[in-house]
Amino acid sequence: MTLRPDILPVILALLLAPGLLPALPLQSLADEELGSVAARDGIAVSLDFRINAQADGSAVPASECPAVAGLAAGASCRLAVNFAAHTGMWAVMKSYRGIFRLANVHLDATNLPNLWTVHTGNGANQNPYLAGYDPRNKPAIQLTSGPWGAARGGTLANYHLFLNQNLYNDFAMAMNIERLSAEFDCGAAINTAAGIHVAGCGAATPGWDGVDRVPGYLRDAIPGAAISLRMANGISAGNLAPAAPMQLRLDGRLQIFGY
Amino acid sequence: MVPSGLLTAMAPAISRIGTFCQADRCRRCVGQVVRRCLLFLALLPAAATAMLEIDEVGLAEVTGEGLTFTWTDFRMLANPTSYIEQLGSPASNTCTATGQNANNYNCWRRGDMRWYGVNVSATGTAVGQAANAGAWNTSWTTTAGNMTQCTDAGINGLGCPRGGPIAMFAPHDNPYVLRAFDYAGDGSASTAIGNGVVTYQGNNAAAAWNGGAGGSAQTVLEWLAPTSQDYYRLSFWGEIEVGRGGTGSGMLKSQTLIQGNAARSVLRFFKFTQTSTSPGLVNAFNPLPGAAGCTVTGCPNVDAGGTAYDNRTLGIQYESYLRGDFRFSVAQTEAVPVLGTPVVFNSLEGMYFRNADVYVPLGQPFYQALTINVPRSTGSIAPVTDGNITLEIPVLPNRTAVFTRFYSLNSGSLGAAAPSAWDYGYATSRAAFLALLPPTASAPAYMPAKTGATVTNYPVPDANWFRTHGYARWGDWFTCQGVGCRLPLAANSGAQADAGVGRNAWNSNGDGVFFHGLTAYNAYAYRTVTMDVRPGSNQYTSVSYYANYVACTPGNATAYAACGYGGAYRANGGGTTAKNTSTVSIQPAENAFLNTAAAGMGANANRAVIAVPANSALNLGDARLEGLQINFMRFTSFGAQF
Repeated sequence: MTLRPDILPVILALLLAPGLLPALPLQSLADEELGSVAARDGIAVSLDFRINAQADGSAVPASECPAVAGLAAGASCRLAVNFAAHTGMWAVMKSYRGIFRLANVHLDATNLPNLWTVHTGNGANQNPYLAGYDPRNKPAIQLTSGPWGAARGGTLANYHLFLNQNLYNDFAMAMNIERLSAEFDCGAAINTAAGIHVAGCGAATPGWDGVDRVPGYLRDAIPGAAISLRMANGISAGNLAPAAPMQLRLDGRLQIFGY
Repeated sequence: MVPSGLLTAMAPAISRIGTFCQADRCRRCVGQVVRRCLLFLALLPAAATAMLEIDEVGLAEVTGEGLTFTWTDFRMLANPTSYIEQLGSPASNTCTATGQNANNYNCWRRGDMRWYGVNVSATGTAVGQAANAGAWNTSWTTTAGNMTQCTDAGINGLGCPRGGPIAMFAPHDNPYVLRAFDYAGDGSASTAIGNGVVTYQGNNAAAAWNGGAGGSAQTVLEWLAPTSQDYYRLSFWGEIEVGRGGTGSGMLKSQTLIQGNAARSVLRFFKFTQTSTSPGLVNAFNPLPGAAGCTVTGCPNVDAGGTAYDNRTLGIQYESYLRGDFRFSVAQTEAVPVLGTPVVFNSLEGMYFRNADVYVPLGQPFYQALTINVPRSTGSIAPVTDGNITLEIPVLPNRTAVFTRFYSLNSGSLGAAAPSAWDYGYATSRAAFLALLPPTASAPAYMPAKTGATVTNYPVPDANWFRTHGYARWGDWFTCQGVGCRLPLAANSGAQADAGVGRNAWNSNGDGVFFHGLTAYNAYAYRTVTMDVRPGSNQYTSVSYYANYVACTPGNATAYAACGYGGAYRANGGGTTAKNTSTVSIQPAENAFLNTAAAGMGANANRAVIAVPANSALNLGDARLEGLQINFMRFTSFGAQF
């Protein structure tokens, strides 16, 4: 398995998809904090997104994921996905926890370069998916991260200063899927084009078809795992279950524009 | 400017996501974000670029089709101690002994794999950085708190795992594109954006481009790579650990380096079009033809009990284009057998694939896609409930519109005047490859001319052929050898091979597949033969054996006796009649290999092996696989039931 850089924005988009964050109450602004803002300089963004995890990447106490249905406290820390047309079948990621942390991403506006590059044959072989849109000199949102970038005067001499390994702190990512397996809704056995139930759970709350069932995401009938994944940092012979998130460094500029 | 369809395109495919993130914790997380934003506004460095006023004229051309991502001077480095791990677990039947012991048979050991330090950075020979290539290149370890400089760039820059920034990872005029798009079937040409929608039902008769009333438009969410981008380096080091906590445990550290790019790749998500009324080929839960509801084109997708199978779920389609150099190595300058500790790898040792060019289409829009499912019982759609998951490309349906697109039936018409008549039919990979050859009279002497009325052997395939058929090419395959190509007028020298104008020398590290070892050893291999027994002129029925040895001349039927690794032998596998009944066997003599100084292989004559010296490459040659198609594929996990 390789971490393809070209799917990284997709991972970001999926992680930040609305619907996972509930609405939260507004907080009052502190005037003295805002007093030195000059505006027009840009925005810096930090993001600390955690699911079932503490700041250092370790799991939250078991009491935070309370006992429910047949699951003990802590066992309900999980993420389950159901795909269309496969009603009653769940891909359940058990003991799921994750962290996604961006540190100091600068958000600016800029104009794109007013030239064609060699990658379009200097304009002769334009990207067909842009449908004829001419991006030269158009406005774009620019994100920059990290202490080095050509836009900020980065040179080889400066680069040597940043060989220090402590500068892998632009963004951090941790994920723990202890076990991933398929779990099935359980109640009276049903096997139709509309959905699947397995038998053996007795009466439970009514499900999608009015028949009593225990949903698959609340079951732990499968002891094993189809796959188990972890993203973390730091490992030693005596500590095979580390919690610290992966540390990554990002250089350069990301420009986003619509067309 | 986010297209409204971007998220709704996902909605039909993923019906529910349940999460047990506790609400209180989420509120605390987001509360911190709000506070940190306010603080950073106050502490913003003065050197930041000032915000720009939005220009109305510049934005007037925006039509809201999608979002683009431009990466300039891009580099992503993971800390070499950071990893992605696939965890194993103790097996229920664990081995308790090692070696030739009954307790080491028919048992399992736990396996864990880790990928450390994934990074994307510039190549070792990046243009504009050649003068500073040494300074930018670093290895996995640290020295006095800094990244260790890597002093030996190795073969074509593959000696060092990490480099500097990539100038144009995705330029502004050829960026990554994310969009929700309606493929409305406008135009059936392979170059048309719509390219004539064909669904699993094969009902494109209704498509507008086919003269129908229109319809069957398909919406996708797609992530499109640039059509051209700088080469870059993708590397990681890894650990494979076996038997953790048990007997017979071991660990292997390795390094993987890729120098190239994946330009033109496409990742698509759409709602798969396999419905319960779609016909399928005979598969695990389809009744045999003759059962109720079956027609000559197939049977409805139901099992023996009559339960229908609806697979209109999330479909993933991936057109994978990869090109460049690949290196896998294990030799370390100083072994450090401690779990998780980065090491420095030797700059030359390893297995290389140079000048690789690979295209693998996983799925086709919209009649074929990768779907996530559970295993099903034989003869029934009832799920196997052992907890395992499948990744499957379902069997290609037996529908005319589908298989004529997938196998790319050429639109030439049978019975028409030449050469159109010769273009009708399904092209083979050989014919499609020959169709790519330059057709002009100025083609190299070793390629037969391909002109007008004399074209009898190169039916031009439908242009969709090159979208539905993949390929894997390792090396530049110089010169055009074997079927359809004229023989080289003279064998080529090693120097020509390395310069890209000749065949690979036995010790070439400039092209193709080769090993680079650190110690001396003996190597023995005979080159593969090309074989085509289809009727036709001589070149299509010959068995050819090519190599690069100056004393062997093409066309010499007895040359094989004198040439082993390094000879050209060509036997006629049959005449020009339609039925080929000849038999040809190639039996190089045991000591046919001539190990002479003229071939650059040493002073000893009549040796059956190549004595490969220490720190030398051994080239296996170039390889080519054309016409790759996936009609059906299923990966099933194994382990949930233990």
